[in-house]
Amino acid sequence: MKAYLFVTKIRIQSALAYRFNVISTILIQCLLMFAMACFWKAAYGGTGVVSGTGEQDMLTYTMISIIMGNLLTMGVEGRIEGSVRTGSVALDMLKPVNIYGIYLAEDLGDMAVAFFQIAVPLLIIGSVMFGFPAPASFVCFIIFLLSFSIGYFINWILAGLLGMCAFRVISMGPIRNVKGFIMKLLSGSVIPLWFFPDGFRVFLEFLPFVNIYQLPLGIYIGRYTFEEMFWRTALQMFWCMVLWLIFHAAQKKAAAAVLIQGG
Amino acid sequence: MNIIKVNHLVKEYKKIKKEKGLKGAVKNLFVQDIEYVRAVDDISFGIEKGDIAAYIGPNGAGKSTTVKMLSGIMQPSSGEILINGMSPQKERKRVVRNLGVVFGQRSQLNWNLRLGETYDLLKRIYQIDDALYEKNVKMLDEIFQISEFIDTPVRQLSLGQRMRGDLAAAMLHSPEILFLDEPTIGLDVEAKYSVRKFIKEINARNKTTIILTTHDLGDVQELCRRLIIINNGKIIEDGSLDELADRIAPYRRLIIDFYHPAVVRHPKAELISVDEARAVYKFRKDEITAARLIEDISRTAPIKEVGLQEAKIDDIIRTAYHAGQA
Repeated sequence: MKAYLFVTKIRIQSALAYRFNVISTILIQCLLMFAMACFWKAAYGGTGVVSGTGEQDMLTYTMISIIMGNLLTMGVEGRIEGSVRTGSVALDMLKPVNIYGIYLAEDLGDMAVAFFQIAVPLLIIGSVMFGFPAPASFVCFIIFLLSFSIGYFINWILAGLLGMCAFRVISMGPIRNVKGFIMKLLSGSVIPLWFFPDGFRVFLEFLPFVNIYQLPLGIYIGRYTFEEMFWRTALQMFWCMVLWLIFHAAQKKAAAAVLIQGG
Repeated sequence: MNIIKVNHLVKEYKKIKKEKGLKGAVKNLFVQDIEYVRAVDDISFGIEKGDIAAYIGPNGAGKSTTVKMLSGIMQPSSGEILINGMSPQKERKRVVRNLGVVFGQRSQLNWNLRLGETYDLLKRIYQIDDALYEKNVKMLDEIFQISEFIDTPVRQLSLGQRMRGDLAAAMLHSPEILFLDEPTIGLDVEAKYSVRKFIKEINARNKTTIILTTHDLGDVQELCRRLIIINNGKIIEDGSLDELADRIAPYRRLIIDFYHPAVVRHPKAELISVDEARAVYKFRKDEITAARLIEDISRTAPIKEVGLQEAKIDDIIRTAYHAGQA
């Protein structure tokens, strides 16, 4: 355990060595936040409540969604692909540790860095522009944190599964972009699914993607009753476990297929 | 007792033949011409504890593939590997705990941070206790003077320093077995010397078993008691350098400077060249000793100076490679 924590610490240290791209990220994310807020203001056009959610709640939803997006960036896909291509995966596998544990520790380190370097500044700027995006209640906030954490692991496992493909196909090409795009759309990170037609919405709510963005965000803005929160979080945990089992099985197969390039 | 045991090891790659041009690319989408290539073809050997063995062969012979299978990061197609009695494929974590590996062309050091940071991480990964860690760092510092650059960011190290850093990193957890894949590649004379010194000292102090792949035959000559030569995936020679020399190139050369120009022949040595007062003879070690030859010749003409040349290691190895190809 100590080793994995140390990897996280080292990751934070290395990230602090490169501070230049932080400013550009914050600028781009602010622009995105501004555009999305304008979009929702225009869409609501002064109408109080649409599909059960008010305008201010929707602004909160958008702001927190963009901040979450910066915390949920997964390095694992690129990490595996890169180390397979350069052959440095050999070095990773020579350690008496679980390599996925190391990749997860690295990503958690990146998230810690993103929290202080990007999320906090974005929250402050967003609050100045559109008012502080407060959670519905303190309890909602606590459940949000729990739900966000489970969502984080679902997201990470999906990224890890995709990353494992790199052990077989070497070059992943545009698959990663396609996955990112589908995730954004199906997870409700841009448009909450409750604005979609019922049949389609119900179908999407059974997929794992909603558990990454929409569920924690819905909890945050107080859209669900306690009973609903309970069932939805239970379903979320169920998904997390199913995906973990798949991941566990895939990891054994992937290890057998390792292709090591060069030298 | 053999600490490393390899039985009938095979690694087969699937190679897809790509046809040229756009037409070929389209055709390949539908019909694939698959060819199986044996990178490692039925090899067996054992290595004893405390040995230094050189594993050499031309580029693409299958050296690295073998090392990767030995260290558990690649699955063999068939055959068996036992390291300390365990299979590195089935018990990867337990096997690698006792393994140190250095790839000369890759570094395991964290590029952005000071060298010591990587060591701190390794201490935790291998769960090295403080006392052993202190002891090993002290020993590595004695051999390698790592404290000179332990606080320097790795990206600022010279290649020689980086290699020292990498070798030290592989030894921190006192592994019983060390795999070195071209550890002297690209190094200058001084750095090469210190790497060889390191290998000798580690072997002497800790009885570490070392497998070395290299193209630098100086490494082999200076370090290795055992030589395994592989070509086209097969082991073509296995033994000590002397044995190999005796078998492949049993000739020696004797150079004699006479006081006066002379042509002296001897039934057991071939006179290759005569230049004024200098004569060069080629003879077989097993037919006549150098002392005897000199004695015989000196009876005919007075000798001023003698020189003896062993077969050059480069020639021996080249001969072995060619023999393996035929």
